[in-house]
This record gives sequence, C-alpha cells and structure tokens, in this order.
Amino acid sequence: MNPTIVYVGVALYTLVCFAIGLWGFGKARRPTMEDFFLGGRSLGLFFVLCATWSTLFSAFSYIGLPGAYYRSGISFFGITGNIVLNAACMYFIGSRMWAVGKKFGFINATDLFAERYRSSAVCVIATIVSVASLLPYLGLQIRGAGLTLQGVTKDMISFETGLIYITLVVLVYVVLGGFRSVIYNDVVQAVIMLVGMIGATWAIVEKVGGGFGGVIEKAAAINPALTQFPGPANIWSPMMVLTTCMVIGMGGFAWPQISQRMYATRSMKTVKTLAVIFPISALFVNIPPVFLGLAGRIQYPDLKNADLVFPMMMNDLLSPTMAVIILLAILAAIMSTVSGMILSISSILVRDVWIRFFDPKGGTAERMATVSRVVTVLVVAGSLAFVIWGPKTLVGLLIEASGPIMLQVLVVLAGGLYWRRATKAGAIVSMLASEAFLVLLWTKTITMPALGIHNGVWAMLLGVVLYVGVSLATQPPPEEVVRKFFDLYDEPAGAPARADAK
Amino acid sequence: MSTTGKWILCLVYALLLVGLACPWQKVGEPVYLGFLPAPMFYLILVQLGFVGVAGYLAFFTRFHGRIEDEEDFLRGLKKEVRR
Repeated sequence: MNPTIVYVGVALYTLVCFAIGLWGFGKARRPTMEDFFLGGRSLGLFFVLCATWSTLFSAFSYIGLPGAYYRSGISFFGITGNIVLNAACMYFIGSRMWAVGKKFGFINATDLFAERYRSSAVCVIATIVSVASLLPYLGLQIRGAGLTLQGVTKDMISFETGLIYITLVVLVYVVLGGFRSVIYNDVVQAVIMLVGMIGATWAIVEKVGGGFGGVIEKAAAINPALTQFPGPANIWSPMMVLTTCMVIGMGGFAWPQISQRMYATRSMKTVKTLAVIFPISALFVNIPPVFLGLAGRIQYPDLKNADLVFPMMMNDLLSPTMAVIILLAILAAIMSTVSGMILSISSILVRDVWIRFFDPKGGTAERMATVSRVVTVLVVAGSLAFVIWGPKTLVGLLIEASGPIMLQVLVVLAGGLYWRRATKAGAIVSMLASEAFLVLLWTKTITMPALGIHNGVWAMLLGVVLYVGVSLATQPPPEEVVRKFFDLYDEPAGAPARADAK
Repeated sequence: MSTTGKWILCLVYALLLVGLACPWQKVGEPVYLGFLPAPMFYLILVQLGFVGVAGYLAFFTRFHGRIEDEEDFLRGLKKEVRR
C-alpha cells in the first residue's frame, strides 16, 4: 500500500465523519433523551435500511467470512439463511415493538419489559444480560479494529494508533450528534462498504479465475467438496445449519442496537417494508465473500490462518487506490457496528439504570442529554478495560456466546408481545434458567445428545418450556396490563370480514 | 387474517425453514447458471421464498390487527397527547 494514498484516504474519511457529527450536533441543539437515542423516531426506509445493514455487518464480513469460505467452501453459505430469520423477527416482533414504543415512549426492549411484566426484576435481568453480552463484544470490536488496521496496512498503522484512532473518531461523532450522527454516518459507511465489497470481488475474481464461474470451476478442481454441502470438513449438517441460523438471526435481532431501530422508524409500514427488502439487500454482502474465499483458496492453497486471505489478496492483487477503498470499507464496517453498539448500551444504562434507580424524575432535557454523553464515554472506556484486563474465561465466553445469550431474551420479548397469559414469574425463571443452562453447556459441564443442534437452541428450548410452564402455573397478569398492550392489536369485537385481505 | 390462513402460513414458513437447512446436501454440480454452484442457487431461491411470504404478510393481510390502520392509530395518539 502507498502510505500517501492511505493517509489522504483515511484523513478524508475522518473529515466526513466529523462533519456529519457536527451536523448532527447542530440539528439537535437542545436534544431530549429520545432525540439523542432515537432521533425523534423519524427514520425513513432508506435510512433504517442503511443503518441496520451497516450495523449488522461488521469487519467480520470482510475478514472472517472469506476465511470461513476458504475453509468450508460454499457449505458455509447455509448460514446466510440467518438473515431471513432476522427479517422475520423484524416483521413479527419489530412491527409490534414500533407500535408500543410509539404509544408508551419506550427507548429499549428493556423498558418494554418493565411495563409489560410490571416488574423491575425482569427489566434488571434483561439489562444485565444485554450489557454483559454487548460490552465485551464492543471492546473486542474496537480491539479487533486496531489489529485489522495493523494487519491490512502491514504495520503502516500500528495496533495502538488504529485502536486510539477508531475509538476517538467514533466517540466524537456519537457524543456530538447522538443517533442522528450515527445514522447519517451509517449511510455513508454503507455506501463505502458496498462499493468496496463489490469492487474488490469483481477485481479479484477476474484476476484469479477469469470470472465468477471460473473461480467455482477452479475451486472444484482443487477439492470438489468446496462446492458441495456439507463441505470439506463435513460440519454443516442440515440441523447445524438451521440451528446456527436461528442463533445468529434471531439472537442478532435481540441485540439492542438492532431491535432499537424498530422504535426509531417513522411508521409501521417502514418496519414491514424493511423486513421484506432486508434479506435482498443482505445478499450484496453475503454472496461476494463466497467468491473471495474460494479465489483465496485458488491463489494461496495452503494458508495456515485462513482469516488472512482477504488482506493478502488486497495487498497482492489490487491497485493501491482500490486497496485503500477496501481499507476504508473495513473501517466503515467497524465504525458503523461500534457506534450502534455504543449508543444502545448507553441508552440502556441511562434509561434502565440511571433514571430508574438514581434519578426517577429524569431532570431537564439538557441534563439528560449530558448524562447520556457522559455514559457514552464511560461505556467505551469500560468495554475496552473489560476486554483488556477482564478475566479471560469470562470475556471469552461472553464474546463467543453473545448471540445465544440474546436469543434467550428474545423468548421473553416475543412472548410479551404475543401471549396475554405470559407472567413476570415466567419471564424471570425463563431468562435465569436458560442463561444458566447456556453457561453450563458452553463450559461443557453438561452435554446434550449429539444431534447437531446448537447450544443456544437447547437453552432456548428450556427457556420456552419454563416460560410457558411457570406462566401457566402463576397468577395471570393484571387485566389492565393485558388491555394496555393487546387492545392495540385486537380487532374491535364484531369487526367485519376485513380481518382478511385489505 | 383467518385462523386457517395463519396455519397455512405457518406450514409455508416451516417448509421454507427446512429449505434453509438445505436438504440438497449432496448436490454436486460445480456451476449452475454459469456462475453459481447449485446449492447456493437453491438457497437463494429459498431466501427469496421467505421474502415473498413476508411481502404477502406485510402488504396483503392484517396480521397485526387494528394497528394495521396506521393513520387511525397515529391520529389516536395525537388526540391522547392533546388531552
């Protein structure tokens, strides 16, 4: 890579991020908390699509995915099915979250829990689970960003410089403009990510295989299993594909930075349309890594660390300008994910910890915006400290199991929106027991029959059984709570046959 | 949406889920349509099947009941705020 092009490219990109941050700051001179965290619930389809897309796809799409296809061939493509389950959650759960959020002013899934289950305990458990699942993951993303920058620039940008640079840039634009800055930066970052991914794939595939079909044919000639299921390592059995899709797709929806977007949208029609077009837009980032991974397998047949395949091809096969565009795309992917996470964790801590327990009256809008900004800085510092100095086993577990951990919360979220009979006891027992069971499975204290079912799904099954069983065995929730939530959806008694098609 | 309709949709979703788990595990044609291996092609078709069902639910049913009348819902909220 040419150092001048790298520094000019990164400087221009940083200027754009700061300009958007300042613009967001100017747009909301006196922001309320709702404004800082949800941008006034006014997000249109294009913005929510770009924001969700760029937040969900991190540097993993550029580094980890080509590596996975290098190892497993196209059999890993089964996992992309997680996107349709994520979109199904947007439709079935997100639409209802939008309605109750609009009516009752919710900011997070956790304050929905407090109202629906009339229980601070449910809210506190969900808060602890969400923060515990996200905080180390956030620290890992920032740390990984430093390592990625160091790797792809071949030490031109050191680990420490990369880490400090990304942390500062993201912090500045998040603290300045809150949600608005994050969303508008997400749009710019989504465009850079898309251009980088498609451009790099096109150039690399042409050079290595003479086209997409050529790459597949050459990969099949190396090892036919690379273009078949269940792949060379025989890992991706049907049950493993399906249950992994459930964990990543449904657990991914329960991540606060994704589910919170449902509250931020302008209308329910936007949420529903998002659910329809999101799987199609996801194909643009899910298909190229297949060809990148297989091209890497052709170019470097015996790599020990498959995750290096894309950075190596980037340096060896692309022009210096194209390589810098890819570098910016990777930066954009990291920053969009990190900024969404920071904002979500901060909103949970402000709303469900600070206001609920320390400042129930809430104070003025300015005061709450200041509290939100201070908490945002503390979140970043805390996540980095936890990943760098935290107990290694705990950090490793929380990072690896982030999706499965949130899948257990999804049971309580979906149940609360769809099942009138769901009670706070059911929610508490379900979350505690399934999370504990997950830890036992993850640490191999307990092993389940080898049916190729993901540990997260075993824990979820236990959670569903306990949620239903304990809810039925305890007093039904108060009628006023049930009416408050379900009157929103119930058709009026004696409604005509419009219950079907519009 | 009627109860029968909901059951039929559940069945369609279940079938699509089976499709996601890729029952064509042993399909081995290296290239399909000139650039996609057959299993990838089928998986993309299944994903588009989900999109079709989601589109039907979103734009041709009243799955979420009365809040599907979004304008009424928002007007009601404005009235509440004014009160």
